[in-house]
Amino acid sequence: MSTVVLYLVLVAIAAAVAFGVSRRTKQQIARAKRLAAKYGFEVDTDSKGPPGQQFDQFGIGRERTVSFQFWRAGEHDSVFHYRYTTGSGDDSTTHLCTLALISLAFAAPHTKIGPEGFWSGIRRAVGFRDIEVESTLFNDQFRVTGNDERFAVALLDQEMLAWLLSPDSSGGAVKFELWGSWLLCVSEKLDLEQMFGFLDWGQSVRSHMPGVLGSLYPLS
Amino acid sequence: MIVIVFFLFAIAAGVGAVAYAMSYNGLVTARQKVSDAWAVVDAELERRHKLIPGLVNAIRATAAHEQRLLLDLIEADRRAAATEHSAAKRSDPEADLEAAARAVVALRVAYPALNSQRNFLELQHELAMTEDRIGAARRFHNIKVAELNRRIQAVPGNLIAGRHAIVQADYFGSDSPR
Repeated sequence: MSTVVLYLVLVAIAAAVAFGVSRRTKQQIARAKRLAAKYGFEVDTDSKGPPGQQFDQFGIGRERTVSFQFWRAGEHDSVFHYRYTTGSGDDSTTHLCTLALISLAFAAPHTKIGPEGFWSGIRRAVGFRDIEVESTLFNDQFRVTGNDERFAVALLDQEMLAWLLSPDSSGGAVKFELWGSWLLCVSEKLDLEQMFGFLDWGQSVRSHMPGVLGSLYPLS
Repeated sequence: MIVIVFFLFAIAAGVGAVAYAMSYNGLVTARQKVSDAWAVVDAELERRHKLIPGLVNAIRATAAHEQRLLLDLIEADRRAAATEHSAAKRSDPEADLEAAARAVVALRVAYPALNSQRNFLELQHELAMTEDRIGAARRFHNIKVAELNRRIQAVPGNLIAGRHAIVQADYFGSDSPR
């Protein structure tokens, strides 16, 4: 008798949790649609795999899922939540972030710009250098890696350096990855309402890039 | 005991030889990168030189009275083109040519008819783009020069560079990091 009661309690708890999750998901979807209408965006609330671009970010971990993708009608640029899992068993970790995918007017060789970390700082200290520019301050704060050093130096001209070192650039909280005609901005997970501003911010990054890249690395 | 000392000496000599070879290779690579970077600058400068005759002809058709500016441009172009292809020697003549070209392009303010000349507008756009390309190539070159010079000045590069006649390179232009 007691086993049956215990079983019923467990089933009731599971049903309540499932109901709660379902309700929360529906609320999130309704909110996303409401916000998209408010800010003039299209939205795809379905969960799906990562976009086709060959960014390193989309190769990390497993169970990689895109959800809540927003974009303006007629534009290719979009912003979305991204989730992936690394490790296994008890060590498995689910990572949540928000990504802005921005189109570029040139064909960028694969390049990554992010904050200088502890280990990369150690590597620099012992003489292993990544791509560096003439600004010591920038080299100390950012790590730049890529296939084409000449491209990275052309990208990081005086205006771009000044912007990346300014408070407007998020101070290294956002990582950038460029490949082909796309720029990927990687942030920690943002609230749905903040995602529209993040997309606008990502598009403003493009406006800081030097125009000469279109001549040096034209789209084919 | 002698064997141990000999063994330690051999290890130290081996480590020293590897460090020497690595440092030497690093210097050679850095010197080669400067050379490659200069080749790109040189190609972009050549690209600008090729635009000058067309620019002179386009201006001459509309602003024939500006002989002095045109002659300055032609002379600056001739002088820069005749200069040895090295960063140190070409910095000043190329800067003069850039200034002369800017002065000629600025004639569009005094001669609005130039703004309706398709040929002139295309040349102006091409020249502006070429200046940007030269700027990007110059920055890359000067960064590579700074890296080579830093290696030559630091230990152990300073001990090795002199032995192998690896000398500091020259920056190109006036905005160089020193």
